[in-house]
Amino acid sequence: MKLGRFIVLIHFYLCFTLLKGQCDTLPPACATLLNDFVSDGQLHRALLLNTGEYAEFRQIFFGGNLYRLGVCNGSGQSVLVFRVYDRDRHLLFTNHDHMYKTFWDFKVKFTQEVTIEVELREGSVDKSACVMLMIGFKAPSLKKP
Amino acid sequence: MHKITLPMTLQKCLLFLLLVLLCQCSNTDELTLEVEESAQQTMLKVNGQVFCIPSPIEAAIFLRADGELYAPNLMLDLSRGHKRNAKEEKAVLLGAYSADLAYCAAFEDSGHLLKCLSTMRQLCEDLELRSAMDATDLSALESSFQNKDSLTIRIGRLFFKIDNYLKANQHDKLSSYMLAGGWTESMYLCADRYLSGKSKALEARMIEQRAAVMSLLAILEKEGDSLIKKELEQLMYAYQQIPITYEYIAPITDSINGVTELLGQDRVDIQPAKIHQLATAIINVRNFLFKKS
Repeated sequence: MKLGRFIVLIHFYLCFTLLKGQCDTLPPACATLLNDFVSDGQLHRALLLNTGEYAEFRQIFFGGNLYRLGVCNGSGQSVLVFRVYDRDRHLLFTNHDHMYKTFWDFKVKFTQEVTIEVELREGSVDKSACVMLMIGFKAPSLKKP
Repeated sequence: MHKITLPMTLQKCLLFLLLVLLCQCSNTDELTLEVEESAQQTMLKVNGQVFCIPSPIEAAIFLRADGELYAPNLMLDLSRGHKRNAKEEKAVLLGAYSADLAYCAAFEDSGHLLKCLSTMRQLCEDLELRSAMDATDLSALESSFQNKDSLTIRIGRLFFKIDNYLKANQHDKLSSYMLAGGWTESMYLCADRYLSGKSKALEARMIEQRAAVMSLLAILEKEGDSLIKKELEQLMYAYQQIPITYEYIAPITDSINGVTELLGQDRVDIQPAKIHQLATAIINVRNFLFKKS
């Protein structure tokens, strides 16, 4: 019994170490999501340890800017669902309605605080993952004609 | 205490089992609470919230777009970066110089930009982050001096690279300090310019940062640090004096081009005295932070 516990513990430790390792390297697929958008300069990441668990990111979208949100995971294989809510929890967008696209642009008329939820798609082979959220923007003077 | 030595065969079996379990890792759904807790201690929260801080580049571009005059004297003295400081102070300075770098880039002051880059590189070396900002990054930035849009994109990538490097090397605390330094410096530039010209756009931009202050407080608290907690709480108090109501308007999604237009709007009851108080509180945070450095 003690040996069993020992193995289970080692199992969890190794899983966590592997996942954490995924969080320490930025997959090339993530780096290209922002294209010509200006990165907000931060690596937003979270570990999802179970299906149904989600990461919640709080962000301010400033009026007049165009934002890009991109999601990816450490292994580069999982399908991720992301949803954007306003401060009153109205659902503003979900990539579930758009074939789970890994990035989407948001044209912001007035400044607003949003919450971005990211989770593994239901039925995903992976039950745990390190998810990364990329945030980029284009200010009016940076927009292409 | 008896020392238990496992027989060689059992050791081999255990090793084999571990390898099998390792292969199954991505498919397991049996992770325990203990692991989840340890994950939360070292990584960002799950089923909690991860806080994002507005980029100092956004603030710099905004100042330029609002027609504010360039005020190089407002930027932090570069000699501070060469003093003997603790790692945490160096990280705060690195963040502040990032904001100044974005500011002088927005106003096309390539002279100060080069000096700022040089100081930032020195700070990266002091923080043992040499790879986070190498000669390739500098030459890429220098080659973009003539193209402001390209320069801005490269600066954003540089900040991301530094943050990525810090987090990958388990320096989350330094990353938080860098964010705090960057946000405080960029807001200081906005607050000072507001007090000089009383621009309505700047007034709104300062008010819109309420969530950023809450995020910064949460980030610093997560790192168990009281760096500027008192000052940020005073700033939060100034924000609480300005009532904001939110009006939901349904967004419009253009599926073909992959764009959603967000139309919701905050409504603010603006009272000049309270905005002045807010700008002063922002300046106090900056003065306190860099008095310490």
